[in-house]
Amino acid sequence: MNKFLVLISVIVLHLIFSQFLPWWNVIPAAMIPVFFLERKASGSFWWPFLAIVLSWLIWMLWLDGIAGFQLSGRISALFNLAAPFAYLLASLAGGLIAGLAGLTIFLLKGSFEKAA
Amino acid sequence: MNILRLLSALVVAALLLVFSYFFHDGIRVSKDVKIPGIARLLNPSNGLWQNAERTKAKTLNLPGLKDEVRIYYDERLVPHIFASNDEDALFAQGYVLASHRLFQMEFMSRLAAGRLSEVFGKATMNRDLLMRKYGLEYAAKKTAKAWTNYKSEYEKMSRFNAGINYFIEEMDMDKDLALEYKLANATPQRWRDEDSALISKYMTYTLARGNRDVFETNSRMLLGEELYAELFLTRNDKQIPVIREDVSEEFLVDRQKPENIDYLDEPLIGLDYKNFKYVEGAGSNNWAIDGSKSTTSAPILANDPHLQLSLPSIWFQMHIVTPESNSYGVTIPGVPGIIIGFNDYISYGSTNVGQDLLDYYTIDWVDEEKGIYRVDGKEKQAEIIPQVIKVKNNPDVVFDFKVTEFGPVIFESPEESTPDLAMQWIGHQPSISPEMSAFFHAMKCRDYDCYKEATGNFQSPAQNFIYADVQGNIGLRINGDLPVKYEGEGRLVKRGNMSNHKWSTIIPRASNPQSYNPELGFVSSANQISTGPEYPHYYNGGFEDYRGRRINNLLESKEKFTVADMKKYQLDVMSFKAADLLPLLLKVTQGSTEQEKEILKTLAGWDYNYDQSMSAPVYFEGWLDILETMTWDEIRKDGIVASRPEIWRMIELAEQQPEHVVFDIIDTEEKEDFPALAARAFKQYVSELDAGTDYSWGTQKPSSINHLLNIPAYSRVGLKLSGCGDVLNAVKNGFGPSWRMVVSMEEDVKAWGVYPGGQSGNPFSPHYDDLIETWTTGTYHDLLSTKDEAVIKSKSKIIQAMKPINE
Repeated sequence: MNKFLVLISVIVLHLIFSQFLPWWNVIPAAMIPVFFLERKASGSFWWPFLAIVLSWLIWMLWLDGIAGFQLSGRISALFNLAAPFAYLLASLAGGLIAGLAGLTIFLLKGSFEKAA
Repeated sequence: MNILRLLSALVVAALLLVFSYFFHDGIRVSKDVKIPGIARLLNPSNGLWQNAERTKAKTLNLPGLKDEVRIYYDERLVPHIFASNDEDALFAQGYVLASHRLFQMEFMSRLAAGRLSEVFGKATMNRDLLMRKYGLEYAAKKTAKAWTNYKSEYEKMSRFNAGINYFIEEMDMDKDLALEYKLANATPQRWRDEDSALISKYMTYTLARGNRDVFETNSRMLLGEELYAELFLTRNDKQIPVIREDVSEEFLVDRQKPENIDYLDEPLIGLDYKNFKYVEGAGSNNWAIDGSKSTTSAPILANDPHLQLSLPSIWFQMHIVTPESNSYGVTIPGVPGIIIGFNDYISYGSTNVGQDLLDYYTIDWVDEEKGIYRVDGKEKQAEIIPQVIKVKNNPDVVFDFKVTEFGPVIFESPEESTPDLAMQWIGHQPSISPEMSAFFHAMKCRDYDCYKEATGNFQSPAQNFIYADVQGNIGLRINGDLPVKYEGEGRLVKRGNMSNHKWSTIIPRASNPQSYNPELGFVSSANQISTGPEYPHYYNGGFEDYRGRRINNLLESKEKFTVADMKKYQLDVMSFKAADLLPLLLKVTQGSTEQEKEILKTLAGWDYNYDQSMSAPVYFEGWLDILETMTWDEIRKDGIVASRPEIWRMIELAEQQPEHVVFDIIDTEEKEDFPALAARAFKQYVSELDAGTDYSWGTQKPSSINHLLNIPAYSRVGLKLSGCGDVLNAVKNGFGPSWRMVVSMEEDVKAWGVYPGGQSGNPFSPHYDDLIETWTTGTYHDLLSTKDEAVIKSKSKIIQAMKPINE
């Protein structure tokens, strides 16, 4: 259950932070839930990663849909790529940062804890 | 504490920082290629995904508004503004322009000011440097200041800027930024009077800078005085001037040739020649027929300005309705009013006056630092204004902008042997009228006198202002700042040793030639020479030689014309240049090989139309190119860039003096004449052709409409278009008919128009390029210009309202 809690918390925090912070708000949005909830190193990376990939994909799809699915093609064209790459590039970049942020806080926290 | 864990935490944290930085700021992979920050640009919360077309229904409550304003957007995103007074109409116009074209406006202003590098870095540095040397910002600052002298007028017009700035203040600087701002990681600046002045100066730079003074000075040196005078004529007898009537009025002011004037004895070498070159292509057509020549008995006006084709387009369509007027047409974003358009009473437009309005003077410096110069035997201090060009991520570029009494120093030579040059340019003429409101007044006019007065305030770039009204009148007036010159003045670089070498007066507006309700039944212009030789004021220029003839030819071709004829003529691609020259070439050239015979046969069957599917225009232009190079070998010398005589003069010589010395090739023993040269050029041209290549005009000369930042994905390239610079559909060097408009001045005015772009400046909007198809296929949109608000409302997709609130 905890696992999903991290996933959902990252998504919720990210959505809240996005109201007043630029894209890098994925960093605090990943760090906070991991710090309080995550117990495993792999989970500290993958859950925030998944959270951002998922939320960005859905968000992008929604915005693209409103615009009649014209956006992804026009955005990808900027990089000389086909339409799906805008989704792929964005979500992987966001996910990677969130994952690294989660892992960073997990390792930092661990280094100050006494060995169990 | 667990050191190992801490170390790994630090490593991951470092990775996080590095990736965050790259995803935000981007990464440079080579000197020219930079991958932009993908997370900053592509995240869904404020990245490009937020840049879909955002025009939507809304109600704004605004202080400063006098009354309610309603804006209706139709299916092509043309705004129909209904306001109850001028101030509110201007506010709404500024607001609407900013909401679709803000980046373009700032880009043009920065381009003119030489401030692009602040945003775009090194790539635009040279362009900035050139603009600073031309002193557009220097001129715009003075102009903007002069505008404040007309207090009530100025206050009214400032509502336009207020509308632009309200849009900027209201926008979410995160999400709402235009794509280009996001790419450059920049934010918009507030719009100032100076920015509007910069746009006006940029138009002057584009349209009133044409001159060949430096190159003709060199041509004269290479040819000798006599041959120069014979070849470089200012008047082409085959051309029909803009004003066909006799305009031999009295001089109001005169200028005598200074006694002691002499020209340079040495050619100008070592100049940064490309900065003196003027890319030709900008031009325009307009004409108006009166009721006697129209099938409906109502005048018809047609206008197509050939400015740079870009995305977004230079033009923006608007419909502005106030209790006083109902105006429709196009403006340049940043300019209040309607520049080319119509209302319920009149229609109007313009083409550029091709006169030479820029002259150069050598400067005789006294001191090492080049701050003091000698004129009239006395020493004078130049005004020195230090310039700092900020270059993003690079050190500033600094230089001294020096202004002499002739004008700014445009060229400082590193060599003793080449003189420094100052330029006297119409763009630096002081602002002496409330020109900022010229087009706002013009759009409200109901008769010729009013239009004349409104455009009379317009100073630069001088235009051939055309007019037609529902009463049945037509008119055309050459208007703008044009200097009084002595015979021959301004063709060559002058010495700046005497102050009377410069011109100092502008021709009074009352002496600007015009044609009003001529017997001929029509008025027209296409950048050709302004008047017949009897006009008392001397002028020279880079005049157009073929389009003007074609318009006159077409409008005299039959008794009555329809709107359909006018549209057809705007798309006409018949070239008088080809009609004048090709028969001469064919008469003296025989093919010897099968291929040569084949090509000559194609050319012989050609109707002189530059149709994109034909190969004859490619063969003709290719042949002509080599012929010109062979003909003008006498003005080719290493290190000296000189200009050739105009093409019409070569054709005239071929026709009248085929044995003229210019047709002889200097490097050969025998003496060539025109027939020999034509045959030789043909042989050479054909030998350069490849079998299997598609030689159709559209394939060989593809056109493109580029995004302002030249982003390939947002440009339209490889368009196969009919036309060239010498024909009415003047598609050339990235320039072309940037707005085609035809207006029938019936009781109930009807109008058609199209431009190659779209109303939105946003590449993600369906209205970014939705009009291009109509333009390339040569069709038109019916312009919806009724003042009946209910009709407009019923045809609108989006309605916005602005409501006043008390402060």
